[in-house]
Amino acid sequence: MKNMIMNIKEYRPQFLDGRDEPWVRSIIDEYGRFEGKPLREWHQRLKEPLPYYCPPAKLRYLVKAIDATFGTRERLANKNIQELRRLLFQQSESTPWPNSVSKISSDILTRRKELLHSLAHNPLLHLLNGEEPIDSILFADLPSEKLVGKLKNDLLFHDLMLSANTYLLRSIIQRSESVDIFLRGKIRPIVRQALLRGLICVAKPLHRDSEFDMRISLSGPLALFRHARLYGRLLVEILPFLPNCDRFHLNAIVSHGEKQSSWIIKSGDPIKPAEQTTFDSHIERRFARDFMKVTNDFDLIREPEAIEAKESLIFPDFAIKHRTDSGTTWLLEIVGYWTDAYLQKKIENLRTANIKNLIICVSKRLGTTDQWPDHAQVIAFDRWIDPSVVLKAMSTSST
Amino acid sequence: MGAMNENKSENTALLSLEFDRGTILINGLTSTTAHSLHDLVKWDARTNSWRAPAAAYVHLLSRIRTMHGNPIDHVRQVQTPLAAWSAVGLRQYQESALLAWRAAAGRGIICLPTGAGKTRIALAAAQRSRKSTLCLVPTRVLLHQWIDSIREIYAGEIGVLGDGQHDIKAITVATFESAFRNGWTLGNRFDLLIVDEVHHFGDGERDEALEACSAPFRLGLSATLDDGKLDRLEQLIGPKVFEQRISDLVGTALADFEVSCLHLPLTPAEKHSYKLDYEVFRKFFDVFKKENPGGQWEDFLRTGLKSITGRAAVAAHGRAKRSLALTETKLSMLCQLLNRHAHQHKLIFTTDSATAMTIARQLLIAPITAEIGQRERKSLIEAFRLGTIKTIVSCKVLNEGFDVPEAEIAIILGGSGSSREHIQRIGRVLRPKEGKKAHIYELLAAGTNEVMKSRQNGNKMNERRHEKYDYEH
Repeated sequence: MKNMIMNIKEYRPQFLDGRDEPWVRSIIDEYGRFEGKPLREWHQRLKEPLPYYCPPAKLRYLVKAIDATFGTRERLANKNIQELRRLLFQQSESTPWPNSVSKISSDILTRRKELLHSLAHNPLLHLLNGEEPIDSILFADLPSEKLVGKLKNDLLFHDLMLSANTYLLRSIIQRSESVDIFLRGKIRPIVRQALLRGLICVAKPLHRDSEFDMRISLSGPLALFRHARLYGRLLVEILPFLPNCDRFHLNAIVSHGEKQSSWIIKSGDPIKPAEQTTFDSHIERRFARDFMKVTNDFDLIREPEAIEAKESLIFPDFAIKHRTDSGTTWLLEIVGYWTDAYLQKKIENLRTANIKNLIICVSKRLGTTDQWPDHAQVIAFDRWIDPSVVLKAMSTSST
Repeated sequence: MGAMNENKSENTALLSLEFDRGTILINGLTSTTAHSLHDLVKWDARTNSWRAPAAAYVHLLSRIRTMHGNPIDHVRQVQTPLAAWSAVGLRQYQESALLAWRAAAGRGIICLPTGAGKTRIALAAAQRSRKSTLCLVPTRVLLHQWIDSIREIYAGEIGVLGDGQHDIKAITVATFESAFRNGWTLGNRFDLLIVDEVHHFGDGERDEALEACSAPFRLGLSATLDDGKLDRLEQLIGPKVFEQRISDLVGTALADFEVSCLHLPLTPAEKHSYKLDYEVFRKFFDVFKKENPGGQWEDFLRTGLKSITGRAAVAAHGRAKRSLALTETKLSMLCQLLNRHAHQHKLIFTTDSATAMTIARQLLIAPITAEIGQRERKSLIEAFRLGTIKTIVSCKVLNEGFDVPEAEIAIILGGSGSSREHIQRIGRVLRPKEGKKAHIYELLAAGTNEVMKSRQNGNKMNERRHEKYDYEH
């Protein structure tokens, strides 16, 4: 897949793989040594030289994955501890600080001990935790005081690497200003996720001989004027949906000041897939459930193939197919809560596409319009779509 | 003439402007007209439309009006502040600053030292203009501080965007980060954009937050503005319209102050370990400098992390820096100063959060770091204001916008070495109060590069400095 933009250097991510296993194992062992200790101590340790050479970027992603996989234990989350601290600070103000130079450290310790001791009988302390001394719980509610979690015995090395590699990919996409994705199969969820996030999505069908069905370009409005990083966070959210496609090839454009680089991510790369999403909305979910109950003659197909309409593509919400008569298919589009501009565009697209056997379910909240395509069956719905009304519309359409 | 007017109305009937996710869509623009607006608009082949960044709205509208008359304008979705404002009184120099901003068509940057009342000028701008206003601030501490300041003079509800809240009102305060994330969806809801500590913008990092906003009136505030950013900030906010320095206001609008630099020797053990670590670092750093003559610190870190020796050098540098953060003599001197100024409000500034927490743990002094939650932070600052707590230790959180005039002693144990940080920290104790004379103590590890950095910063500020070397402990 050739890069479409000239003079941009192409890169492939350096994923963690089997060759990294020795140093990865050594980091996991090191992590085990910090179990139950404050998280800050573990992170401080990582700044010191480590037993093996660890590639810095890979190490960063591995540590993120380890922290996320094994988690941390909250020591204490109690507003009484904050109140106790405030009392202690107030008391400290009225107690002179040591003036000696030669034994400053020991004098500070003594002062501290005395002050802490003065709070030993404070009822707040007993509300906290009778077990631990005040000395050790004084700042226990702060994030850096969280304790390093326990290593899981059933840890799958592969899962940890996958998690680290996903962080690596996220960091690349996060810095990107636009992505081009060549896709085959299950394209709709990608487009849907992009549109839901307010990205501009330009989809172009590819020639039948191509190994991909479609090329989609995702970017944000401001990307027209500058190397906008505003959308990287949104582009990252698309990433987990890619492994669900049959095949993909992604080209992310990342800018470094005035320079740009292109990062290639493709099928087979280690990406943690998103859980299979089913429906865009409660209306769709409910309609699918109710429709299956009222008829055995038809199958409801989620995410049917896209339909070309002038300069864009239409992704109908459902296709309804007769079980025995394969030639009889209806496309169903639900128009819920959208802006006027979006609605106008939708109407224009549907008119241009000239789809046969089209059923459009329109929320009554959108008001009435006579602009829908003449050949379409339009059903107005209040809160939910009644499947029997849809079936009736289909039978009317057939006759 | 009549024909010209006819032509104007014919064109404008077709032209409409619409806000689209941080940009302006111009519908009905002919290619001839687009050509004359080429510096503002671009053809977007992705959506087949003419588009301009939202920040260009005011220029775009003015140019279209000149050429064609009024277009159909759907851009602004603003809500006029309905609640009453109390009048905001200003000092003479603050009035002059506001006047200069208004003379620049309500677009510009005001540079005043910390404590000189920049926020007050901004509030006066919002109050007098009666426009829906978005205030951008860099930190959560400042977010709440601004909300409190607005609440004193504005009777209506105040929107908050940041620190876990997402509530938009005609007057809204947002953190930079939240504005960056959400700006493109709400950029057309405000007429006046106020940017506190505007020097954080202009280098591309978060500029999109300002570009995605269509507010025609913009006010930037800063105490430490880099001249290198002025051109870019002029595009995003407006030109620098007013400036006064600390020396212009000391003794009148700012408290008088004195800086004492205390050169404190390292103990033999500290000296030995510092020397060892510094040598490990220096050896690698010298090689790096030889191979990369123009190399920056970030390049050094990147190079260092790629090898075992480099990693050791970077780690040694970190250790050397940490070892200076709180030496034994610094700790001892800190205690002496705390005793000497026991009845005054003191701020302790450290190199890093870890040192701030060490001091908090050992000396039992209230810390304000990024880890301290909003509720506790607010309660500690209130206690400081009331005087039940007279000492606060912090690293960076209090560098900007901490507004407690009672603070009169600053003890600086270490820092990044940048002059901006130095000015910001000193500014924390310069807020005026009757009879106040602020004192700033810089505790420096003698014989290290802390001394050189401190001198550079002092020279930049023309400080009255007292260098003290021989300490009797």
